[in-house]
Amino acid sequence: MSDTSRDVTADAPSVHLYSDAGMPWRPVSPKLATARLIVLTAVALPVVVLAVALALLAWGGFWAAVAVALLGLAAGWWVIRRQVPAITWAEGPEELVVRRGRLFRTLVSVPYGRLQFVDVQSGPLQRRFDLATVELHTASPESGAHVPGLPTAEAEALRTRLAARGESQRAGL
Amino acid sequence: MTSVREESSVNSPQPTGPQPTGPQPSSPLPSGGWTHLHPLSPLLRGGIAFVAVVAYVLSQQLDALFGARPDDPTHGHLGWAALAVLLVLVAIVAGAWVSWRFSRYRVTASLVELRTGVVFRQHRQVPFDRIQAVDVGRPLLARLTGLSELVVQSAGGKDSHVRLAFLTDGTAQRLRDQLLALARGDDGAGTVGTVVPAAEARDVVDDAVDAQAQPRSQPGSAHPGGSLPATGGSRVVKVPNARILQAAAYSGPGLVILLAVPALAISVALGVPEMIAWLGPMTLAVGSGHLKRLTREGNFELLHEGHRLRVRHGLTDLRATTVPLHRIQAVQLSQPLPWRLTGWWRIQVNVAGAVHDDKETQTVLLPVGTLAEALRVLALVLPDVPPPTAVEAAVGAGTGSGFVVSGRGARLLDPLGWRRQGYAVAPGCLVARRGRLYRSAQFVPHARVQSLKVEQGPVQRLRGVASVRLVSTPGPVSVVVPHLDQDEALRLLDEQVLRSRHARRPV
Repeated sequence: MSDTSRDVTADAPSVHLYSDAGMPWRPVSPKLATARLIVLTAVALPVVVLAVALALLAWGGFWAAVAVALLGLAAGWWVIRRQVPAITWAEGPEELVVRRGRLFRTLVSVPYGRLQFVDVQSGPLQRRFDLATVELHTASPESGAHVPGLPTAEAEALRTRLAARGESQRAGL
Repeated sequence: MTSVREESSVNSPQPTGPQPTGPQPSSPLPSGGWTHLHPLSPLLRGGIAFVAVVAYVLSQQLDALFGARPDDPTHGHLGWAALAVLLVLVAIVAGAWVSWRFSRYRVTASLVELRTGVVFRQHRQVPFDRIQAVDVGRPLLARLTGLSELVVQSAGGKDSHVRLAFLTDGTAQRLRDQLLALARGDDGAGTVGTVVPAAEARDVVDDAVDAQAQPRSQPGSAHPGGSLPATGGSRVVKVPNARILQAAAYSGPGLVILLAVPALAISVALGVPEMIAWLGPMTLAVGSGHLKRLTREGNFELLHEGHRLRVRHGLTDLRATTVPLHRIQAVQLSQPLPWRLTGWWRIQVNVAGAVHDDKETQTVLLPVGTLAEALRVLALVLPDVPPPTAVEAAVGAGTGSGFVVSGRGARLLDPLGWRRQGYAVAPGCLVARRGRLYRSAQFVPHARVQSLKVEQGPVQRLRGVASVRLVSTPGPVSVVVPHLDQDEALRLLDEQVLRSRHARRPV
């Protein structure tokens, strides 16, 4: 699949990183949204339950807290549902590009030659969904490019490709 | 000492293949074996505490001597108190001795390593090809005893520095020369002709020190080149201390202090305790931070030799730091508002491997200087940038000299700066500038860009603008071109990707 990146020649006058044309943009797994929703719910639900309990047992004013918590939960759901599909990434001939965010949009372009090392991380929940996060480390922690929610096999393959390209295109600091 | 070797935990930031743990008898270098640091080292490192105890005891004795003892804190048990103090001193000395016994360093064929610690052992090594710089420093206490510390900086940041504290001045200088000579073999810049002269390296700290303190004999002056004190770098800039003082007063904290001190004096005179309670700590807090900067930047001097810049600085703690030119990742000229009065500029750089706030790393190339001096320093670091572009970046606004500035959409977001903030492409590097009141201009070589970022928040999208960030290594310089027109931002991104790509290629 990544071989579609061959379509973009290195000497093209422009690479049009932000537009949908020109780069082989790929989404992350929709299961990432599910995983994130589970985390959000696991965090928010006890708060809601606690607020309900307090409202019933202690003081009626806590219903406001319940409402706020539920509202927050709903907003979180909405944001996650919109956010995850907005994460797209593409392997260019010499750089990996990650786009994310809908309200606050960012685009990071990391040249392979600048890679110091590549991390593949997977927490217990992510593992259940067979997902992993590929994190790209350059000499600057500010770069902060990571691709979350890749199927584990794909993440491994990406890591291998990145390592190989990083090696062949390595540039001195 | 041999009996403890095997269980030491190896903490090497850059493991370099198989490393024999034992000493290498086959090492071709003279200092192949393990060597101890100077015996006074632990006492100097824990210097303040030791001096404090001694001073306390002495002051007690003086009081006793003059009989001025209105209330005896020991309540008559003077003997016991003396014994306790003695025990503490003995414990300190014993601890220092053990710590000294267990701290050893050596230089092998490929790396320099240091072992420290009795309980928590540490074994640190820096391979020669990872050496960024070798610095010799002299904190105040060390200066009084004729010792120096040697810091071998490596690319892994602060935690990977090897700090040999302390060595005799001669040993430190000799070791520094030796390490620099060894490191050069793998140095990326690899200009063979510019061997950093040993004599220059030595005189950098020495003449600064000798001017004020004891002239120490140099046991290592048999080193080749030891008789050529003038070979060294040419002086680029020397900043007079008066100017540093004035510049400090012209800065934000300086103004606060200038206002706060008279106010404090008045409130003391009028006897307003509330004001004192409020102003005093504030002045102290702002003042001490500022004072630290003053002592660090005093006696500032920048020298140029081959492909390295050497910085000497420090009022009390003398430091001579090397900044290899090819390690500089980004340069920034900046001018706080009050400095407009005097036309001063400050130059800071990002250095590869440096960690922000790491005091061993020199990120200031010019603490305060005129525009002409700043341009001279800039020309050393980035010789390809034409001076008119640099001047335009420093003080200009609008689209002169090929600058692309924020669009009209940014007017509301940056009512002052929108005509100034922007970028230009100079030969070999990208120039960004921003700030109407606090002017700054950044220069990043195309090849040094770590990654590129485009950011756009909801308000920015409403105004049709986006910011482009050229990520550099950690340091004081961050390169952002804020609020370009959306299309301009994407054009910059696309073009910069290609420019950086081409610039990286020949490496």
